[in-house]
Amino acid sequence: MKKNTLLTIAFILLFIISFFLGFHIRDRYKDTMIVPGHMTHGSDHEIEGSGKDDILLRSDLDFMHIKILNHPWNNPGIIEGMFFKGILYILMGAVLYIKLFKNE
Amino acid sequence: MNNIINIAHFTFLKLLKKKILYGIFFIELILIYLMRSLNIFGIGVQPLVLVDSILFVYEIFGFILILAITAGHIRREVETKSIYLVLSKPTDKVQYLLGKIIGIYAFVGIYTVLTMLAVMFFAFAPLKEYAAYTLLAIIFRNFFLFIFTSILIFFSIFLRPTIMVMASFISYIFAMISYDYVDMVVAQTYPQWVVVIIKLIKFILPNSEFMDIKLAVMQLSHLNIWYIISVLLYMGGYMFFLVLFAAWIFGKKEF
Repeated sequence: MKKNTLLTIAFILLFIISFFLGFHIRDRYKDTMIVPGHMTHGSDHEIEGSGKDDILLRSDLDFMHIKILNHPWNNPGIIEGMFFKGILYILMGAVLYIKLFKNE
Repeated sequence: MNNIINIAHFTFLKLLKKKILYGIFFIELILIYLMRSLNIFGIGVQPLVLVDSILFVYEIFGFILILAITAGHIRREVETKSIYLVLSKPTDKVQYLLGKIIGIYAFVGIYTVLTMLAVMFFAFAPLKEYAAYTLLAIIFRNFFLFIFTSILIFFSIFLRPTIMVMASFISYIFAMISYDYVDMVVAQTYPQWVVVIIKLIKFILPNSEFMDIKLAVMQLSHLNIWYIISVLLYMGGYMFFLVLFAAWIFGKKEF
């Protein structure tokens, strides 16, 4: 196989890996992130009553709550996601670099 | 490498002569000066309101600045044929574009330094203990502007200025939407496929909230060292990849 084809395959593979890595990290750290499903079942700011209005009201509160918990600087999921995405972008860039400058 | 540095140097000097930097900085300066006496709740200047306003003004004006300098920048050189003067020397298209991009980064860096100086000069006292952290937050927003500069240069290679401005605004809005907002609000209002498409677009575009430490400044919370390393890696990787990708496309372009 030609070097150019191999580089293109490597590039596409890295892109696909980075896509699935994002999902994987999100699943791994699901417990540290407050997602809608969590909050409507027994959160620490439960609202009494039932019905659609209450759900909407809870969601508003959840949204406030999530903004407090899911800061990028103290959430291991987001930090790990950024770290690996950065490495993958560098690898993808390296493939392009070889294609552009070292592939005479 | 020398060619790239020379083009970067030339681009930087050429951009410094543009009046738009000084115009935008002057308006920003007036706004920062006025903000220091902002008395929204009638209880004096609130450092938290000040932090929020300064970062907002810096980002919006920074975005307008990079939009103004990148829209049509390369296209104009192709149309006026001044690009051939550079390319006739032993310089290829890839080196030309890389030099341009580095020059524009340096220009955006100058804008950030000027903003930081303005903040130190006008808003240091009212910001009190939040001052140093605010400067750090400006640097983090600068990282986001750097990434966005790469995206705009990438667009400017193959889009007309008017379409590019439109595409840039849409990208900016997508970059600003928080994942939490998509999960919490959009998911409840729109069908699942809309959520999937928004997440896919957000996966490709940079995420603004990763580099937003506004709330950390307000809470004076400790920044994890791994967070700083990850942000640097994310920014460096994204810029490295996008710049080379743009250079690759530009190298293939016929004109």
